[in-house]
Amino acid sequence: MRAAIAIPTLLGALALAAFCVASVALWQAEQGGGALGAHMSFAVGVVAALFGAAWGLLHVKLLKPLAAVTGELILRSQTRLDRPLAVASGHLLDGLPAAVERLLGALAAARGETQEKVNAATRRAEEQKSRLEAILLNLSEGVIVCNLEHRILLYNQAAARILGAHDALGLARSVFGVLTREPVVLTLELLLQQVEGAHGVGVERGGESIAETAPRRFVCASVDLGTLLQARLSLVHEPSGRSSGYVLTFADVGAELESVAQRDALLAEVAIDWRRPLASLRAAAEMLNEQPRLEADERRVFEEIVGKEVQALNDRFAEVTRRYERLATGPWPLADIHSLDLFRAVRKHLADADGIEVTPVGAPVWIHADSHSLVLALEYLIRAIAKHTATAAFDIGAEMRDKYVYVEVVWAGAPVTSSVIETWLADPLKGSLGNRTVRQIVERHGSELWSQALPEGRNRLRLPLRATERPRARQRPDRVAPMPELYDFDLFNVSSEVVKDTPLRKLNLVVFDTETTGLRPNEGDELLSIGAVRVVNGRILTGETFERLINPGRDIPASTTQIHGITADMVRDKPPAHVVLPQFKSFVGDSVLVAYNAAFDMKFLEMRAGQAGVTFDNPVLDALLLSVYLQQDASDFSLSAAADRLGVEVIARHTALGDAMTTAAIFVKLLDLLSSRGIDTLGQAARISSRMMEQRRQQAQLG
Amino acid sequence: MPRSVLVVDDEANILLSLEFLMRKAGYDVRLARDGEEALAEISRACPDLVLLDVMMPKCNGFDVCEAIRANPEWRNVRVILLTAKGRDIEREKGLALGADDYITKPFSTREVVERVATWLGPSSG
Repeated sequence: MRAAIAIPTLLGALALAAFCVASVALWQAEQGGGALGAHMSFAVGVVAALFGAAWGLLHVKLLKPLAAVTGELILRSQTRLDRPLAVASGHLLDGLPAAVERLLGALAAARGETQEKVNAATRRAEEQKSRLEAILLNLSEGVIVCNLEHRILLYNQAAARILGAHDALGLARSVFGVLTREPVVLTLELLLQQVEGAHGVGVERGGESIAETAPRRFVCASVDLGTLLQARLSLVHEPSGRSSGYVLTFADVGAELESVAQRDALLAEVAIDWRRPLASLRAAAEMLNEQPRLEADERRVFEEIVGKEVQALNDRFAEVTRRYERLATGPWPLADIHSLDLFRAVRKHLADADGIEVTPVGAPVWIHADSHSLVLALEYLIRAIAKHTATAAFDIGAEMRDKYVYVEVVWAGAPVTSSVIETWLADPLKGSLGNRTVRQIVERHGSELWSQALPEGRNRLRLPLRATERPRARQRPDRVAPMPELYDFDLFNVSSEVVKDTPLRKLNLVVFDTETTGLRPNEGDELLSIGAVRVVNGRILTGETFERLINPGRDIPASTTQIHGITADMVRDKPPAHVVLPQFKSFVGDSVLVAYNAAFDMKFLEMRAGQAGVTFDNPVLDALLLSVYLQQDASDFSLSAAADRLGVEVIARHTALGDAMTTAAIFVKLLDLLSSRGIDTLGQAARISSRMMEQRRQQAQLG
Repeated sequence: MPRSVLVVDDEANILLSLEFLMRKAGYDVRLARDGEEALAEISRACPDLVLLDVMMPKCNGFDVCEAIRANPEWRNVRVILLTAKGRDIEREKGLALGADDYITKPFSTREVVERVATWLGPSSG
């Protein structure tokens, strides 16, 4: 570089010149020629001038071009400007401007390349997005994508159409505003369990192990209960393999069945409509074959008939084929349906159309069935029993035993004999089922139907159906710390003598459960939700439930969200406890309250009851303490363990309503066991509860 | 006096075989070709046991079974159902309607004799 030689040379020359001038000045002063000061002033002036000249030279040749290059570098790095680098000629920068020019060129090229890649990627993403939009738009199935908090992230037009453009269908809103909760939650639970189970044997993808799960089919209902939907649920995985949400696709079952009906109608039409031309054809053909001595003109008449009828048959065949192809006639397989959805549909239709009151009872279970035809068959049968026995009130329930679920319709009144049922079975069902009979539907489910007398003048119709493979509570260990037991000795005081002597079976009960922000009511934990179900005369009234989310007015620890799945987002627009508690109180009325570890739930209720202006002074029973009394040798008294011992299916664990249902089913089973130990009244059960509480308190102190 | 068995089936060949078997086992045998005939026979003289086919024209086996259980005078009549389907559910229905036992067609002849003997005790003949 020229500057590298030029600058030292210049500075060296300058220093030499300064030294010379100073030496000359000193020498002249020593010769006594004039004053030293004057000589020195001259020398300094000369040196300064030399330095000034040198600085000017440096500024023009070096610093100014350098500043120009720096300025250009800053400008170009910050902008997309593309122009030649302008540096005045004669500079001392040697190859620097050219090198900088090359560097800037390379930068511009790299930038162009990146931009092009970004453009291409954006184009691809746009294409994919519009393709996805087109697919979603053209799908006849409804699609809803949710996160694991069940908030809707995306839905398509078909979803809006099938669900009747529901007001509750919107982004970021809960999917349970439009679809019934239980089937979705349980199917999701099942799939998530499968993922957990498949951990380690998953498919390698990008170095991460991702559990592959097949989508699950099930049947659910729209919240307004108008439509049963055939649905499929599959998980959405993050690149890390964690499940981050799920995709629900669903179709209106009614429409699909309509096409089945049309196909059947077509078949019936063929059977009748083709008879006439076939008869003519056969007659004419036989005449030609078997009457050898026909005159030529007679033969021609019959040959014409054959030709004409063959043509007619041909045309009809083409027409039928065309219509057949227009029908979407997929096979209509059996799918999983939640019994409550099934029974609610039956209840609604019969209440609306026939004024027959159907009460769903018992803990809900999953059934493997052709739900639409099953609803029609059950409606038909209940209608027929109602007419035959002049009864207008029915209980409908499903009991699981071995591999079957027994759907049971119970009424108080005259029995129905097997031969009467036989006549009903042969009756074709009106509706969209292509005139299938009840027998065909029963047989399609590999089942039989019969009626039996029960005690107290009641009768039941039984229809065993296949049970669904269900997630079992014991496969999924409770990850939750055991609830602390609180010892509240006033809890089981029953003041009224009348109530005290009421038989347990005759009590009006409300079985409830709460979800909370934590386990310490005394240290600021609050209610998050209340779920409850009514139990009357030992019947769980599945249709009479209470379920509310509550805004706790504080944060929700992530550790508890893991358990109950309730996030701050879900309760943000929910009312606080002092608004919900009066609603719950009016649901409860003067019923006896039942909970599993009741002291805990009661504590949370009472904490906010004062502020809400209500009191929960109802009699209370504790299913936990009664279980302890009846099963002293058991060690695990978690809700799932108790349910398991009694053969109760655990439903939607850690939702308030799910746990309330499970508790109700446990409590109903406990009633039989209590009765066999001579415990029949509320007073007796309350005394037992107090005794068990004292016993457990002492054990806790010792332990 | 020998124990009496009423065999009810609409299939002539089966009826023939069962009649032969029961006679050979020493029972007093009567026959019926459908449900209505069966009920008429039972009304005429109450048998100790009915071997009852389920799938029959007119009144079927379940109906006959229910009719037998509906009449207190016939409460001592043992009923064994015969059916071609052999599903658990059908067995359960039969038992729910009051049948004592259940034999699935096709059955071994020895099985029939053994079952009948279980319910009636060894034949006296």
